[in-house]
Amino acid sequence: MATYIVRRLLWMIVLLLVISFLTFLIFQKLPSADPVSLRAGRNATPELRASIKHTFGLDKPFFEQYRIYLAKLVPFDFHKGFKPPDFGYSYQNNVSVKSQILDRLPATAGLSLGGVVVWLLIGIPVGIISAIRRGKLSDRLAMGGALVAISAPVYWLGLVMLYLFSNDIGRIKIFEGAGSYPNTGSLFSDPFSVAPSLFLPWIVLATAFAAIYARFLRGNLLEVMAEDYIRTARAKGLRERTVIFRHGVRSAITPIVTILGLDLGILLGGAILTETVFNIPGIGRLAFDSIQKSDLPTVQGTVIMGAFFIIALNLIVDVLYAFLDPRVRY
Amino acid sequence: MSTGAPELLQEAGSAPAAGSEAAAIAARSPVQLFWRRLKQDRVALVALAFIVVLIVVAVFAPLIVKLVGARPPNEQSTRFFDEFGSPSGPSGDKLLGVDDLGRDVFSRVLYGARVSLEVAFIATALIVVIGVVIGMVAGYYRGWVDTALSRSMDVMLAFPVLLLALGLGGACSLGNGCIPVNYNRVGVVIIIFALLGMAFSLVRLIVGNRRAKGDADPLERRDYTARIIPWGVVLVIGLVVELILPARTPGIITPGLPVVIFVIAFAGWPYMARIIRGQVLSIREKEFVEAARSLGASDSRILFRHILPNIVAPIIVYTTLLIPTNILFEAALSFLGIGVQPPTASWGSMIADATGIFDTAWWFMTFPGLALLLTVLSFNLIGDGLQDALNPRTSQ
Amino acid sequence: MTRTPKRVAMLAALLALVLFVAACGSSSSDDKGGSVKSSAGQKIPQGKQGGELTVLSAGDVDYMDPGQMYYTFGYMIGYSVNRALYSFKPDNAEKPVPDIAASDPQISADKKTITIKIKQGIKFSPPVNREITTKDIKYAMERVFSANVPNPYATGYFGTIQGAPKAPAKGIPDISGIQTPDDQTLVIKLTQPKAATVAAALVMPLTMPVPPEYAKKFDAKNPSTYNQNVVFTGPYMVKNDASGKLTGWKPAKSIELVRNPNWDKSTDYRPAYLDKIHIDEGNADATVASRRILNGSALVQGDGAPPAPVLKQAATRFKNQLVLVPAGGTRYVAMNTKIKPFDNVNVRKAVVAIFDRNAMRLTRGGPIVGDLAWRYIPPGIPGFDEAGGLNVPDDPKFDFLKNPAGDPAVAKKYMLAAKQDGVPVTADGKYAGKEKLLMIGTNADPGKKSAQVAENQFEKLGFNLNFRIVTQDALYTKFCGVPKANVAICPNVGFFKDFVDPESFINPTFNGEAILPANNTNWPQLDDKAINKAIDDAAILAPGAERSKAFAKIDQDITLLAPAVPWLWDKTPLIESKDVQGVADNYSTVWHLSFTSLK
Repeated sequence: MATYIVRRLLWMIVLLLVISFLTFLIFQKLPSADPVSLRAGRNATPELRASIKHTFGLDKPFFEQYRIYLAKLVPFDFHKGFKPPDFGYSYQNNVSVKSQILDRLPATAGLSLGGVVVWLLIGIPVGIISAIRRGKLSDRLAMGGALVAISAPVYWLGLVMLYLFSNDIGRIKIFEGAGSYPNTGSLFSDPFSVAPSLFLPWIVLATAFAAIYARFLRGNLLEVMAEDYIRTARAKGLRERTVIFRHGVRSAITPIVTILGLDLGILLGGAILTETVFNIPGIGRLAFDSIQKSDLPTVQGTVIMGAFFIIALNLIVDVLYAFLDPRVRY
Repeated sequence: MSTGAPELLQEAGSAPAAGSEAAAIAARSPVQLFWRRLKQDRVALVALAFIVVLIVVAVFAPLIVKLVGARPPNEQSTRFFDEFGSPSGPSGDKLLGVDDLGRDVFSRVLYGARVSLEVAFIATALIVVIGVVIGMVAGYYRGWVDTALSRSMDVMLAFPVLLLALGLGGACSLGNGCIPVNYNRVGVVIIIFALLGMAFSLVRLIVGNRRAKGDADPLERRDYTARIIPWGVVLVIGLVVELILPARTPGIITPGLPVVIFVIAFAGWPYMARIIRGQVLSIREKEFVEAARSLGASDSRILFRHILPNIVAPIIVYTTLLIPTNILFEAALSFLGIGVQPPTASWGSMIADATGIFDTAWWFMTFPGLALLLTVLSFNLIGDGLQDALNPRTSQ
Repeated sequence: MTRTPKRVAMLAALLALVLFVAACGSSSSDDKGGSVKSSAGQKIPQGKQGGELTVLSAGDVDYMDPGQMYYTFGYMIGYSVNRALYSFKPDNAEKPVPDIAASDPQISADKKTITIKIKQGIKFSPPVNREITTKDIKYAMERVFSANVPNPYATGYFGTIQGAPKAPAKGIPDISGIQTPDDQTLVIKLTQPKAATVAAALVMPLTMPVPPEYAKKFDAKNPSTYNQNVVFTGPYMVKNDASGKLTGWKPAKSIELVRNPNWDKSTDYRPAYLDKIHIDEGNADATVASRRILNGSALVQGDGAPPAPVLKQAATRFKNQLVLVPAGGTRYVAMNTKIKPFDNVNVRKAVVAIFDRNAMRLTRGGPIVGDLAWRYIPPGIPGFDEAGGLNVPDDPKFDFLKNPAGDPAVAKKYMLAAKQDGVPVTADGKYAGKEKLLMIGTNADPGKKSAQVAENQFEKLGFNLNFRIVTQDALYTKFCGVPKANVAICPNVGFFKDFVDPESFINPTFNGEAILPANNTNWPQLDDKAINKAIDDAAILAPGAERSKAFAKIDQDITLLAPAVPWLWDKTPLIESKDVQGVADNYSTVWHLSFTSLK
């Protein structure tokens, strides 16, 4: 097991390196705007442009630029030993990319984690109940509703929710609307003032996922309940509730851990669509804006951050799975 | 319900009344059983009907617009604005209202179906073809081929998908697209076809008949080499065609639909490949494959005759799940500004246009969204129906 | 930039207009918005002391460093936390008043020397705390010529100072032409007789003083880190710590402005009513932000005008919270005169004739956002009236501009005339060529809508377009601003005033000699020898009636060449909450933070 983890960690580092190179390649070779012109401004002289280009290091050959970037990024220096990784400075406003990402991480984390809690709270019970009452009206309604929830585009759902329930433009003024997310403070430092502006985003985000998880859990539970050992448990005379929860749900829920990890990893990389509709200053929004403006250092930083979360959570999930499911051995 | 009883037994229970046919208990093939189960799923049938209607609507959109008397989808007009430029909503002569440039929403929703369906079908087809081929090769051949392919899949899967799509889409939406070389369509198709064929043959050649190391039949080896030559000929034909015919199509990935399809396919194939690889991995250990191999079947024969038919079911299922995902993906890309170029109507871009004004002009946000919802829902229902028809154990 | 000395002379003379009370722009910009307030000719109201205001903005200031700031939003903050030698009072965008200077600049007879005396008692904010001297201004002007402090206009406006480097220098150059005989006197010596221009440019932020002993260590780095450690001279300052680091500026998030304890009210014309100003950034959704301002309390907008739907709400339900400021700019759809068929003037006139300019204006909000333009010099700029004012004259020469909704008959006439010139045109006046013309629009609303309306207009005449929507940044840096990109039509361009003078409108935009390989602003790439010469000649004229007339004629001549379709003379809408008494700054067309107060 330990060797497996070490192997996976090493592979994670390799993956991140490859991704950083690919990102560099894509965004350098196919930029959507010229950062030098942007910085230089209107009517800039050729000398000024050349000077700015030199400051950005964009006049060096491609591989040289990548090498410099990598040297700053890797948290290890042959002369100085361990050092904090340097993600560079934004072309836009010269702010350190790392500080911008760290600044925006709480917003994305608050949105994602809160969303996870909400959809698990809704999805798991619905899945279990649907499986138990399979075929009955409540099951059909739940699964039908779930299917509708999955089929709606998340940003559209967000707009519809805002139209119906937001307290500035909605027909029924219940929840805080878009733009209510405060600029300072996050869910973790200031929960009571920040949480209300996240209610609607959580609901919207959770709707689709809750539906997926409910269906998934229901399917799994049905399969598990058809297994022989469940029949044995019932034959032994155990109460139905024990049979369902202690044996059935326990096996059915382990795959949920897998997809939960994957989904969380993707969300932490930036839920662009939700953040856009609700104006939440998260990493997704940062990534989107920096891509538009060809702000290469920020783009790199956010992509690597996103990839890191995906890979790390993949690893955590695989390890957890080994603990939960005794059949899996590495 | 049954717990793994063979499909035949289940069907026997609902066989037609005894005595209606002389040789009544004829075994039904799995395909026939599958159709039967599907036909009994009413909801899936309704969804299928909706999709058929949608396709018809998309194909005949211009005709329908004319019949209804609505204005063409790209015709702007300031007739329905007030003095501040605000559009007006559903009323007599404009069924679903007008958008912020005065265009008829009804027409645009109909034309938007074209974009969504076109992108979904083509992109999905590409993903399935690429994913299945790569998945099969990786899963069957194992070894370093598998490692190389799987690692590539890992890299692609670790990349935040939307960001990759935005980056590529944004870059490729400029000017003449990403690979700004003029080419001739026919020639390129032939060349790609030849290259794919050659690649496949090459892999087989390299990996070879490993199971028959040493006692390989020399005839077999030459057989493989002989397989590559025809592909080479095709390649040469393609190059000649490319050189002779006029190269009028600019850029391989031009802004608009091609970019979206490319981006979706590029981001999507690893998912398919991963799944297929898993399926192939589990099937190749089964007894019938072992049997075929011991009888001396070549790799390609095993792959196409034995393995492929057994993964057709999951391929179909995942394809039907992939289509709605891709529809939503295209809509999301359009919403974020990458994708089909204005003034082409796409449901996602219509919703994006409406974000500034939806609190007062609700109609051109609502109708495209509903269209998306119903379309995706229908595909999901069909997918569910197919899944249940193919795997009766987990059916409702 | 291919600026010949002659051209800089012209620029100089033109900018001198600013200093002299000339027959400047008329108040003929009638406010067609009904009873909505216009800021033209407003009286500055008295305000109540105290209170805290919040500014909602989408983006951040470009720089805090006065040596680098160049964009409007930066000015909004910059001119309330810093003082330049000269600046503009909110009600008069034409004549600057002495700010740090004690009086108007003295110009020598040979026009090569400028002498300025500065006031006493103006101090830097903590942690520097001492009184400013002219040495601080000298250092401020020298540092912008360094490669560590990239400034886009230093060489352009101040390149004629003796000893000024031609290219960005390593380190801080010592410019011999800027002299400080004593602590209150500044003498600027020029290599050419352009004192009028340079004196006029003394309103720019690079004259805001910078203490050398404090700033040198920051300016030694490349890029300079003074941006994060600025010290201030205005009534307000960005909150900082004991070492001078700007703790109140969280880039892209917020800025905290507090009162500058060392500011002496008796030396300044600013009343500075508010106690604190909080700038809340990152409000990317202009619709949401505007709604908050209209419905909320103690809020004003920073950058970003309210989009059309909210503007409508403001104009109908919140009339008292909306002010329209003449933006001093013109929007137009540029046609590339170097690409067929737009190299033929009749084709271009036909395009102008068919254009529905009303529809274009509706994309931004309708008549309330400004007047329909038919020329290039906007209202409020000298030469506007002389060139014909608001309405198209009845002269048959201007028939293609007469009908703002588009006139197909006139368009057909010009297309058939183009046919005589050899342009492929069908019998009913539509373009017969098959090639696809590249048209690049922006994806930022409302520009995206305007671009699509513009596309529609071209299609009416049968043009085949390769229409692409790209980001605003890509538009300027990769397409429209780069002649090599060969873009045939740029629908989202326009020009807005740097100064109140017509030359800055005509020269960089229509002078053939002003075409640059990158960051180009002569989008039509107009290169007409007669017009170039006329511009060069008119530029030398001293400010006054003669000069205005000369440029008015050039404006008309350019209009008759139809290099573009002018469609809007903007009015910038500014909105405030109902408990805010906002004072609009006519020069930079934003709220003036030093004059605004709470009710």
